[in-house]
This record gives sequence, structure tokens and C-alpha cells, in this order.
Amino acid sequence: MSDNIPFDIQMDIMNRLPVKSLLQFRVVSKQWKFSIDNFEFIHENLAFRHMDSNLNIMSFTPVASSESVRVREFSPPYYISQLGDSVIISGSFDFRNFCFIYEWALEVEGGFLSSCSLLFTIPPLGGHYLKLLGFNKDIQPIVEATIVQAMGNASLQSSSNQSYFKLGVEANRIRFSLAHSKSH
Amino acid sequence: MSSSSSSKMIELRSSDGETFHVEETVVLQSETIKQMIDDDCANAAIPLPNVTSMTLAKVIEYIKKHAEKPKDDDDKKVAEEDLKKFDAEFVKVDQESMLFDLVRAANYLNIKSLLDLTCQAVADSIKDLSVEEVRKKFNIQNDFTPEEEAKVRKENAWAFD
Repeated sequence: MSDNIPFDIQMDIMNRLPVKSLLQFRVVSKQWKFSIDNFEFIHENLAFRHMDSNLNIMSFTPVASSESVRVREFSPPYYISQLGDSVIISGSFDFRNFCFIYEWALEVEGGFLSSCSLLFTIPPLGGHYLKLLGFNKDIQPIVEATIVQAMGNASLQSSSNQSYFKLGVEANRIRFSLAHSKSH
Repeated sequence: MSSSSSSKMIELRSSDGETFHVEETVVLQSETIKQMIDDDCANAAIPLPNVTSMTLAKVIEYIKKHAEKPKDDDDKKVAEEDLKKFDAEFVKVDQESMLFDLVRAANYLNIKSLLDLTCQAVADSIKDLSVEEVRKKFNIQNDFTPEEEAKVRKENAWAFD
């Protein structure tokens, strides 16, 4: 067609994309990459400035454990915000010598979580990984962490019979609210 | 004081010379046209050189629908539902270029709700596309070198799984 969509409108459209598409589209052009990288809300969600969190391993409460399985429950602080249609959960915690900063993107469809994916962790985890298992009744995320250490493996893994609370999410572009799903 | 039945008619002329007569109360949803009317520039037909007759007809369909006023509270609920359905159908256009035309028209005419609706529809339509397809849609030149592009793709490898 005739002319292009003005760039500020392209940005408006970007603004409405789910996180996954948005990060994928960083390679569309330099201008897109710059805009996506500099969206204020992404920076607001980055957990850098929460590095000095008072959270440490002692403040974790195990919610399930067995010989090789240990799932720990997060204590605040973590931050929930919104990017496009996705709910973003960011936070940090220390584990031994590691300080993890993580971001999760939760996709919302029809008021319920349809998927969640780990956006990134800082420092890059290499063999380590984090996985969001669910939420406890206080809507705090329950995370599975596998820590691969230089000397052998020490892993924290989930048990499959762990019961999670399904989270209901209501979101629009301006605000969102989290609540437990009533039907489950 | 004013009654909608005797609303003043405004004449709009599309880029291809077709004229449309629309009630002033309806057309005021366009901030651009409202400004023209306020500035007393609307005595003759308002030329809209950026909007084709096909797009303008569609825009008018939208603002007419959105100008309907519910009679009472019961009616209001029904009307809201009805409007939601209308909006959902409205952006299901046969030709994709029409959606982009509508975005441009909504932007040019400054109709916030239509811009919101159409931008969201574009976002929905591109979210699962490949990078190449997005470039094509927006007519964007890839200005990365292959090395740069590979590097950026690597930075968020998880997004490509």
C-alpha cells in the first residue's frame, strides 16, 4: 500500500505484543531493537536495582522436600508488572554464591494463565535453571532451581505431586489484578 | 439543548473525490475534524487527502456505530455487548492492507478508540509472524549486517524455540 505506518504507531503496536514476540522482533531492524530495548516498562521490570535485596536462602521456606527434591517458596521481594498481554514477574534471590535475578512472562488468555516462560536470569545461568512451578496461596511464586556447581551437582528439583494453586489473572493495558481461580 | 435528530451535516471528501455526509455529532469523534470545525474550516466539504473512499466508508461505519446512545441502563449493558461484538467483527477485514489503511486513517483523523482497536488487531495479527514477515508487512528494511543479526538472535535464543 501507499505509505508506511508512522513509527510512533509502530511503537504503539509493539507495545501490545506479548513479550515473546517482542523479543523475537528485536531483529526486525535497528530502530525496532532500539525501541524494544528502551521501552520504559521493560526497564522498570528489570530487577537490577533490587540487587541489594535482603532476601537470602535462610528466608526460604521449603514447601516440599524429599531426598533429591526440594522446592522452596519465594518470599518477597518480587515484582509483578505487565508488558503487553503478559504478566511479568521479576525478582531475585541468593543461593550460596549465586545471586539470581529472574524474569518470568506469563501469558494470559481469557483471564487465566495459558503459559509461562523464563525470559532471562542474571547472571546467565549456564547449567543452572529456574522454573516457575506455580503460586502458593499468598500468590507468591514457587520456583524450582537447579544449581550445577563446579564440584558435582547440587540440584533443587520439584516433586511432581506438588500441588499448585492456579492463578487467575485479569488484565488490560492499564492495570491487572491477580486472584485465585475460583473454579479450581 | 441540542437534539441529535436535527444535527448539522458535515461533508467529507475522500482522496479519490467521493463525498460523504455525516452528522456533526458523529464526526466529532475525530479530533482532527473537530479541530477543523472549531476553527470554522468546515463550511465547505472537508478534504481528507490521506483517506480513500473505501477506508473512509469503513471509518464512518465505525463512528456511526460508536455514536449510538443507549436509552437507559438496561439498554446500556446490551449496547456495550453489542459494541464489543461490532468491534470484533469490524477488524475482521478481508484484505489485510485495509487494516493498515484503517490504522493510518485513525491516526490521521485522530480517533483514539479506533486507533486502539486497529493497533490491537495488527498486534494480534503479527504476534506469531516471523521476523521476515513483519519486515515485509511494515515495509521495513533490514539494516543489520548478517553478523549483527546473528548476534541479536543469539541474545534471545529462547524466544525462537
